[in-house]
Amino acid sequence: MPGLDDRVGPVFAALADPTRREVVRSLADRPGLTASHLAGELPISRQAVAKHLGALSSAGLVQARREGRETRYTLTPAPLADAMEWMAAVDAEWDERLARLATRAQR
Amino acid sequence: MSCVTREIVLPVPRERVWELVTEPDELREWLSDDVEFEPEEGAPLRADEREGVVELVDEGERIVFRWGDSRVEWRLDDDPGGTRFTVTEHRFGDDAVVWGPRLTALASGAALCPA
Repeated sequence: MPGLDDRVGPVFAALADPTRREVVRSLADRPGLTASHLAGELPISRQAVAKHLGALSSAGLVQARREGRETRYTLTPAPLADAMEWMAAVDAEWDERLARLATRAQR
Repeated sequence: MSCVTREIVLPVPRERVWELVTEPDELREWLSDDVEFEPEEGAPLRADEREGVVELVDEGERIVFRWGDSRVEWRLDDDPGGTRFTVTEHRFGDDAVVWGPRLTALASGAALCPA
């Protein structure tokens, strides 16, 4: 499933960073936070928050919405579903391979 | 969370499992129909349409290889029931993926520079 792999790779890459996972958790709890709100909660600068939000949005995990002079961020649920789909697919592939391996080992 | 792990206990000695997971004729029986594989570090590998390279070989113990966008580790351990074979597959995520062309283009802006 190359199409799926292409979409899932950047999601895992974005979530590999613990600070970005914290950003995701904060946005899951309180959708619509601004970069300043997030910087107030996390032990990192506003610039660092902006960088993490950039990575998350590039992976399609976060979307920005302008409201007056503020930019608010919310999670987009689809990429996580893709990631889980990838894991389920890989899981199933190994189940099949290992079942064949067990059969082979018993011969 | 980017990992998938599976394990199985095979009722055969470790030497036999090593054959099962390193000999192309054996691999064709369970891994995929069309396999090119050599248990040597740096050797190219192919399983059907997936291509990669063998990264680490610890004779009788462990093999690590890349295929497609993933890294796979196979580990063999002694078990009362024979040999435990553990598979771990995970996708690599490096910044090259995150900081793709779009962000690299934006990165000239101060917003993306680390503080």
